[in-house]
Amino acid sequence: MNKYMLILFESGDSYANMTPEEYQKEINAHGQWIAELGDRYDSGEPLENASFSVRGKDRMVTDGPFIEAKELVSGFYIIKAKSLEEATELSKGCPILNLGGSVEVRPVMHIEMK
Amino acid sequence: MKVNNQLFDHLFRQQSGKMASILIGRFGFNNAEVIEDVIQDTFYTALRLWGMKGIPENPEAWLMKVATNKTINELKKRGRHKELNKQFVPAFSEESEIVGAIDHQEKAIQLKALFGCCSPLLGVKAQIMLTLKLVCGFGDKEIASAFFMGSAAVRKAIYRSKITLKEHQNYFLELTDKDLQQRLPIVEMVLYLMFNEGYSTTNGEQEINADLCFEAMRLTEWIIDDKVLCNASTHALFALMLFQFARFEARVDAKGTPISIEDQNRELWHKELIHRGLTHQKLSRKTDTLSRFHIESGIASIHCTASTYADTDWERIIDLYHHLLSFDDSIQVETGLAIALCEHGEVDKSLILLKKLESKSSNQFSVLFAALGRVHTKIGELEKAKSYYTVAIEYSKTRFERAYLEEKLANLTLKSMPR
Repeated sequence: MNKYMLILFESGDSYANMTPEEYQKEINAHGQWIAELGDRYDSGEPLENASFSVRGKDRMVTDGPFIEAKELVSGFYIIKAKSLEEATELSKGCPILNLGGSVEVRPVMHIEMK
Repeated sequence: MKVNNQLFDHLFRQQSGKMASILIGRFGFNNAEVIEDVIQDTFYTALRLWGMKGIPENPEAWLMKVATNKTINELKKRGRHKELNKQFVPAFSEESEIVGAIDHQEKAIQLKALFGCCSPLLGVKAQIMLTLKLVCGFGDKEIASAFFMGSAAVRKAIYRSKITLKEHQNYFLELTDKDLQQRLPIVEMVLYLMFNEGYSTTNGEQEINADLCFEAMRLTEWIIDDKVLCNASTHALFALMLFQFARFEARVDAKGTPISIEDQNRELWHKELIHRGLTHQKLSRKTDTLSRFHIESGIASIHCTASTYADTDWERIIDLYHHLLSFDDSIQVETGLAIALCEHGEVDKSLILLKKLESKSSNQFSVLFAALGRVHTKIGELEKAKSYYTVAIEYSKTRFERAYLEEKLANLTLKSMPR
């Protein structure tokens, strides 16, 4: 099986007015999704919003997050799947989609080095 | 960290209330807004982290620690971190090896926060909303749906209350035992009304209604657990809540339409809650001063312990209603008395009382007109009964109440049709 990275984008203000009760439901939904993935789940890391970006030859530094951006990378999962198609199918269960977010599915390159 | 774990029901809501009380206790009411934002941000962090990594061993401690650190950082940023409240006793040990002691102190602070929200400077609705927000951890949206208001209006109302408290009130940690005792009747009334709001308004948000009742009971139990504060009236109030809540499920059908106590399936009544109610009723008798809760819990206990509707001891209920009138001579209580008289067979007396209430007019109390409908049905004046039910429908406040009354009217129309 191959590894795939699911990059999570959360939509701008979808969490702004959530009640504690709704947060709890979201967490439970994620927990349930990971349970359903079973051994297809490899790992995952959430990201903080604070960021800098460095660009080009003159190393221009700008600080983020880019407020104007409608979508924000909030973290990534590594999952195992047989094909890109299957990984994509699995990613449809990600609860972030219910709140208007999106998931980008990218195969982790696994060409032998030797 | 454990993966694949589910949080127990309402954990976040309860923690939100707890964190707000304790952090406001520690950093002062002036920082209430900062603290509310921090709590929101803490939940957001938890969502990102736990959503990916699973739920930590002790989610409560995690939330408290993160929220505390975030508050300190935020106040440092604003140069306000020296506002730490010096009166604040609990030393938070990070490892919390003395869990019991901390628990006890935390509970005491939460209790003070409850009494702080029930300030005499606020109207009763404002007291309830502030309590729901700061002590119970309800979101604006949830409070809005419980009170048929918009979220923005709720936010404004709560904001105004906080301003009032900041300007005038003793900070809640400064409330002395004597203050608490003086405020107890207000707090009991707030909890009573919070419970009733959840119990009697079936506005379609079933979940929120049950939650309001549940929260009112949870807070009442805090007072009961406090040996110094707890009064006979608190036991009576708690007994009343238990008797009412025991019938919570039986009181509406699957569509949310109310079922009158006459037609409720008594098998669905929660025996254990009734039993607990009886225990607290017994404890409530250790006093010379009767409260309205004593009388109301008395009425509720008669209903709860009658094996059938026909077996109900109406005579005692009538007696209790007469007592209740000395506390509250509202149209609601008088109508209750009239219904009891009618059920006891004293139809004439009932009718006279209802007519008197009707003539006071300007009232739009649907239950009164439904009662008039019922009495007229009993004495065979079906046309009059129908017109009273029609008025009751006009004044009904929720679509569920309307559906209930429309069914009564339809049955009556069926009965009065020529064969």
